[in-house]
Amino acid sequence: MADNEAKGRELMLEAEKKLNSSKGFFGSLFGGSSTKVEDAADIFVRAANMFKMAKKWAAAGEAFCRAAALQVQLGSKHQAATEYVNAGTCYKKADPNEAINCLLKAVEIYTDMGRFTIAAKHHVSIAEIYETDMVDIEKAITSYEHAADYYKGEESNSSANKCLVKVAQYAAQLEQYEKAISIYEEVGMSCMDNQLLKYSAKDYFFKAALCQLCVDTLNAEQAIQKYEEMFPQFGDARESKLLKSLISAINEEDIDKFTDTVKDYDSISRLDQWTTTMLLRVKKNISGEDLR
Amino acid sequence: MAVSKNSNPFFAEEDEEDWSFEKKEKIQEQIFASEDRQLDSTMRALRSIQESESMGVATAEELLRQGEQLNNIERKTDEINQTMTVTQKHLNNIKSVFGGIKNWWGAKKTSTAAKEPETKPSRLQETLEKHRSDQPVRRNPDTRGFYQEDDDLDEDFMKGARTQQYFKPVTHSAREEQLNENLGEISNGLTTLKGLALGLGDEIERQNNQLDRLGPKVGKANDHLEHQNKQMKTILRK
Repeated sequence: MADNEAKGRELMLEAEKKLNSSKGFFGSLFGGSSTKVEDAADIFVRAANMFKMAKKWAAAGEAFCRAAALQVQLGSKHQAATEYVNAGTCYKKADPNEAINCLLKAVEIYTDMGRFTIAAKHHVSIAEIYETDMVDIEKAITSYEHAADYYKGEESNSSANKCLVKVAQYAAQLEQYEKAISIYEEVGMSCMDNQLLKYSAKDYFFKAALCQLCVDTLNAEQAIQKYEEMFPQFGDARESKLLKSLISAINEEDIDKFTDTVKDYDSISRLDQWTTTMLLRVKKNISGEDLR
Repeated sequence: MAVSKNSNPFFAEEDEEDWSFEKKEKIQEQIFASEDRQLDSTMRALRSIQESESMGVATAEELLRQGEQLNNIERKTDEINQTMTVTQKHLNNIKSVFGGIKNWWGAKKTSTAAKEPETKPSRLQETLEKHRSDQPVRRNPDTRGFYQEDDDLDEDFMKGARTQQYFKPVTHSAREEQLNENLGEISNGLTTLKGLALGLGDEIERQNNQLDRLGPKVGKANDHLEHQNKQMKTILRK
């Protein structure tokens, strides 16, 4: 829709003119400069919407950014933060780096105002961009950690747990097993008491035990016993049976038994990508021990 | 004594045995095939139960998150309403001298935030406790200690004592044992699903009630906002 794009550009020029005129001597004299800036900001927003309709995401993002900067000047922080968030959304489709910058600025403003829940939500968006578009797992982990901290501060424990679980998942992928184990245990224990969440607690203990397996078999055995004591339902679950047979397979250094057990478990409940990766690592450890 | 349909006079005894043996084999095959099918279908059932469980668990987590957000909304709306009364007072002050005097005389009505009614021990909790007492074999850790004390009982007997026989065994084959085990697991799975479903139902009910409370509160806040906006506009125009 070139039409909308053209309109957008027109509006941008108009806004620029307004800005420039407000800088003039008479503009500031007649006490109207702030309204001029306000108007300019409004016009920038309209231009950005036009660009959005025309699907020119980069231009839209830019327009929103300028509007946000003007709002900061005017001192209306809420507006500014909202505009930065809009900018971030537009840039997501065009330039992930810029998107992250805008979102970070928005987060800064929100934390300044003390609105931690919204800040946490935006940290999660940032982390998602790192996850998908830029595949920078380290930074994604840091963002999720920030988000989890803010959520904890605002007593939104299940949102915090959701972020923490993602941190643990990526940490384990990056072989930071200690971190992953402690997070999974923490989340699992906090889930145990809740009526609804205890069904997912066994899942978290299973993941923690799997990470333990990647580190050391003896640790894993002790850990499994510990979890069973704390949480009897874990012992009943098929996951714990799988873990026990895996440990015995490792102790006997029998790769075939290992593969068979995994296949059995897979026939009933599909193993997801993460679990398969971890199991492959454990398997490699066994064959590694064999070679020695 | 097999009724031989073959009236061939040269039909020797051996052949008859072979023939009945063949028939026996065929029937045996059919039995095996049927057992296989049964086993397969139990495996499929287990798989779907597993899937349902994981979906239920994910739903439960989402629901809880939503619940937290609703709690936040309720808290903040109450705050908004309180702030509104303060702003209304300020506006009264601005509007006119009499408005200011009215404020001094008006009784200070501190709005008490409507507290969520104390939830009676949720139905789910009661169901869970009943479930625990009904099935001591499965999940109650106390009975495990009970079994461990009887050291002289060998493994098989203990296993038999734990698992119930769900159907009358016909062939007593290994597959039938597997079938029995699978049926036991299906039963466990279904119990878990039932617990999950009840829990989800409870949470959804609670959230529904919360939403019903929230509706009028938010409407009130909206009305206040509009009203005060109008007042401010008239003041500014003056």
